[in-house]
Amino acid sequence: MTRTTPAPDSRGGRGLWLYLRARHVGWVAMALLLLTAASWWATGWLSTRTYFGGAWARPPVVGLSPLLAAVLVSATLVGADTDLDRTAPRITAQWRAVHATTAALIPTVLLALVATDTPQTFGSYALMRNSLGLTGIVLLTATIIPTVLAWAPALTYVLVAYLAAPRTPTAAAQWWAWPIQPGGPDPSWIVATSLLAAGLAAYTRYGPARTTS
Amino acid sequence: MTARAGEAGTGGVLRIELRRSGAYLLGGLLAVLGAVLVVTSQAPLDPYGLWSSSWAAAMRVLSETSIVLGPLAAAGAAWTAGREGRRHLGELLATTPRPVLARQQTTWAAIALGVVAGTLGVAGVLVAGIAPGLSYSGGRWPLALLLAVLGVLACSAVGFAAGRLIRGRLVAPGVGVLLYVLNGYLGYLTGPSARLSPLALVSQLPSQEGYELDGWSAAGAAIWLLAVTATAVLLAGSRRLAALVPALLAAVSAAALVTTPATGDSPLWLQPDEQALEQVCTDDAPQVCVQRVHAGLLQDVTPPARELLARVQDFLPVDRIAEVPYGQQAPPGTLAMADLQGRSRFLRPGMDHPGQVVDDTVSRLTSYMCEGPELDAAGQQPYLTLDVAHALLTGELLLSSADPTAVEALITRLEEDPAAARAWMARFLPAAADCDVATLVDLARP
Repeated sequence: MTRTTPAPDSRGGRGLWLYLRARHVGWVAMALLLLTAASWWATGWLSTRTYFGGAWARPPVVGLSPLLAAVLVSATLVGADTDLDRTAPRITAQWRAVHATTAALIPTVLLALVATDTPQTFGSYALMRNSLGLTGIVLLTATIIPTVLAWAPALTYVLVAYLAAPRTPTAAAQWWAWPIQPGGPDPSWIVATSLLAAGLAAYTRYGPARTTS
Repeated sequence: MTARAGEAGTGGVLRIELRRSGAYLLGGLLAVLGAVLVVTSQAPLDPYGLWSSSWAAAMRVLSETSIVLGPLAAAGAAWTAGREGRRHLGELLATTPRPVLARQQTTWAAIALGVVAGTLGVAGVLVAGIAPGLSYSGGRWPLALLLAVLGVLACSAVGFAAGRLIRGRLVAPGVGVLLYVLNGYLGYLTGPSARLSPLALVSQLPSQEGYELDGWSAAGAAIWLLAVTATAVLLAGSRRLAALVPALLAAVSAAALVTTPATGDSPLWLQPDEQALEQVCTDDAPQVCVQRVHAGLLQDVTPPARELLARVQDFLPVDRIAEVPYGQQAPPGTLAMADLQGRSRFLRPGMDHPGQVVDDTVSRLTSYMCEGPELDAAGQQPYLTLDVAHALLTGELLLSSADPTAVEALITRLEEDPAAARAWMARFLPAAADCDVATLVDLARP
C-alpha cells in the first residue's frame, strides 16, 4: 500500500475557489461594484432635480439599490444542484454562516459609500438598513422556496411598499414600510435587523431549499 | 394517450398552460397587491390620503397602481418564459414539429389572461370604492381603463420576450426593476423632455377630474402599447422579421405621441369635460352649487357652506356659494367654494370633514402668496391681518396666530363696529390679493 496523493481539488484554497465559482461570486462582485457606481450617480442626479428637495429626492435609490444588491446576492446562495451540494461533507453550517454574513456585509459597506452627505436623510444610513433587511428577506426565503426564486418576495415587497408608503411619515409606516423611511433611529431598524437575524439563522441552520425549477 | 392529447385542442392546451405557467398565481398576486395599494392609500393607513368618488379619479389610481403591477407582471412573465432555458430543453423542443411561435403564443396567452384578470380585479376594487358616492358616469373613462390594462399587458410582453431571449437567473427581477425605473423616469421628466412621458408603458396618460382623455392621444397610446406587445411576442416566438412590422408601427405611434402639439393649459392628452364641470345646485336659497362630478357631496357640504356664506355676506356682496376650480374667478355675486376633489370617502357615500371646505374656502379668500424686501421689512404685521380676516370670516381664531393679543384686540374693535369691520375687509381683500404690503401694515394697527 502506498499513500495516495491528495486530489488537486482538496488542496488549500482550491475548494474555496470552486465554491465561489459555482455560485457566480465573481460576476456578482462585479455587478455589485457597477451597482454602487450607478447608485452614486443616481443619488447625485436626483438630488439636483429642481422639483425635489435635495437629499429628500433619494428614496428611489434607497429603495431600489439595496433591492438589486439583495437580488444579486441571491444568485450566490445556491450552486448548480442543491441535492448534489447536500451530498458533499464540506458544506456545513459554518460555511453557510460565513457566506451569509459576508453576503450581507459587503453590499452594505459598498452602498454606505453612495450617499455620505446628510446620511440620515435617505442617505447612507437608509441604504445600510435596507441592504441588511432585504438581504435578510432573501436569505430567509431562500430556505423556504426554491432558491432561484428567492428574489421574488423582496422584489414584490419593495415595489409595493415604495408606492404604498405614505408621503408624510406615520408611526405605523415605520414598521410596515420600513425601507421607505429616511434612516434615522426609528422602528424601521428593528424590522430590518430582525429580518437579517432571522435570515442568517435560517440559512445557517437549513441551507438553501431544494431547487425544483 | 394520443387521442386525449388530440381532443384537448387549443382550449385544452391553454387550460393546461394557465395552470403550469403560473398565470393563476400571477393574476391573483396582481389583484391582491393592487388592492393593497388602493387600501393603503386611504385612512387610517395614510391619514393624508385623498379619495374622490369619480371615474376619473378611480382610473388615475389604477394608472398609478399599474406602476407596480406592470413591472411585477414583467418579472412573472420573464420567469415563465425562461423555464425552457432553465431546464435546458431548447435542443429537445427544437426536434418537435411544433413551431416556436405557436408554443410561445400559448404560454403568452395564458400569461396575458392572468395579467388582464389581475388588473381588472384591481379595477373592481376601485369601482367598489367609488360606487357609493358616484354622481357622474360621463367622460372617457373606459379609454383610461383600456390603456391601464394594455400598459400592464405590454410590460408583461416585454418581460416575456426578455425571459425567452436572455438566459440567466436574474433576468426576471432585472427586467422588473428596469421597467419600474424606466417608467418612473419618463413620468418624472419636466420641461421639453416631458413630451416623452406618454412613451412609458404604464401610467403614461393619467386622468384628472374635470377632464377627459383626448381621443387621438388615447388612440395613439393604445396603438403604441399594442405594437410594443406584438413586437415582444413575435420576438419571443423567434419571428424577428415579422416583428419588424409592429416595431415600425410602434416607432410611428411613438413619434406621433411625442410630437402632438399642446393645447391650452391642460396636459397634452387631456381636454376639459364640460359635463363633469356643470353646476348642480340646491333648490332652496341661499343656493349652494357644486360640480356635477361632486354632486354626491352636495348634501354634506350645504350646511357649513351656508353658515360661511351668512358670515361673508356681512362683508361681500354675494348671495350664493359655488365650487370653482382653483385659479378661476367666481361669477359676480358668487362666493367661490374650495375644490371638492379628494374629499370623498372610500366605500362610503358623503365626506368626513365638511367643515374643512369652509377653512379652505376662507384660505383662498385670504391667500397671501407674496415675497420681497418690503414684506421682509414689515415683519409679522401683514400676517396679523390674515389672522384677523380669518377670524372675522369663520368666527374662529387660528391657533398659529403670530401675536394673539394684538389679533384679539383688533377683532374686538371690529366686531363692536360692523361698519368699520366692513370697511376694514373691503380694504383687506384686494390688498391681500395684490400683495399691497403698505395697506396690510396699516390695517394691522389696533
